[in-house]
Amino acid sequence: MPEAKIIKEPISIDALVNSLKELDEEKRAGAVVVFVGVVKGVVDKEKVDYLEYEAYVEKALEEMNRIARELSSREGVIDVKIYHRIDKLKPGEDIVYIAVSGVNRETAFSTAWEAIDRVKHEVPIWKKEVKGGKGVWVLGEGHRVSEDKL
Amino acid sequence: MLVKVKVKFYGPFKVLTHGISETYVALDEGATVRDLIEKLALTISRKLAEVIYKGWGEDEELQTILLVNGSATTLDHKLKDGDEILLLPPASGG
Repeated sequence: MPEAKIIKEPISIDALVNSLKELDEEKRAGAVVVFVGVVKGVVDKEKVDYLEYEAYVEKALEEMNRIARELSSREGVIDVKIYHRIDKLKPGEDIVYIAVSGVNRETAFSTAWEAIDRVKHEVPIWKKEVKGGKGVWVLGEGHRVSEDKL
Repeated sequence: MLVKVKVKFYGPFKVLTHGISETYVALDEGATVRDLIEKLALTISRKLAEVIYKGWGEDEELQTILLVNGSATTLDHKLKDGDEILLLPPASGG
């Protein structure tokens, strides 16, 4: 079953993979691909203190579920799960989990790639980088706005 | 007669509102989203109106999405009493 959640705590990758395999009653899957987005410790040569994620939760869930449903209905895709963390996340922590089961690796990889791309562009979630105590909002595809310039 | 609407702010908009995530605004009957933005510019921050009109940057994707009661709208949309307006900056999840 396609599923999407906004979460605050990290999840177990093993449990995530198993959930995809257990629900595949006919054992159609030939591949499970898991993408995990992780907080980088350095951005533009500056040390990152932490990232802060904020979501318009109701709409974000609606959009993430729509993406998971749409992708999982495609030929060769068996299941898609999308989990996105919010609040304060430190370097090395997980941000987002995309898990896709498909009949073959090509389908699973390409679907996972599209899923994360769509999550970045279509889901109302916003990211603030805090570097050296100063906040910088990331907007769209990497455009940055310093809080002290607003 | 006045109409009273609720406005919700997200992401960097909350910097412009000094941390306020929502507010109620009274407007004249027949007021549009643009009238609301102008009132917010006067009462909260001129910059708030500037980023809505001009975008957060030069790229087309850096526009604010305006929602009224959950649906995307334009600056000329007429507001009704009880409407909820959301100001959504360009997304940056993942």
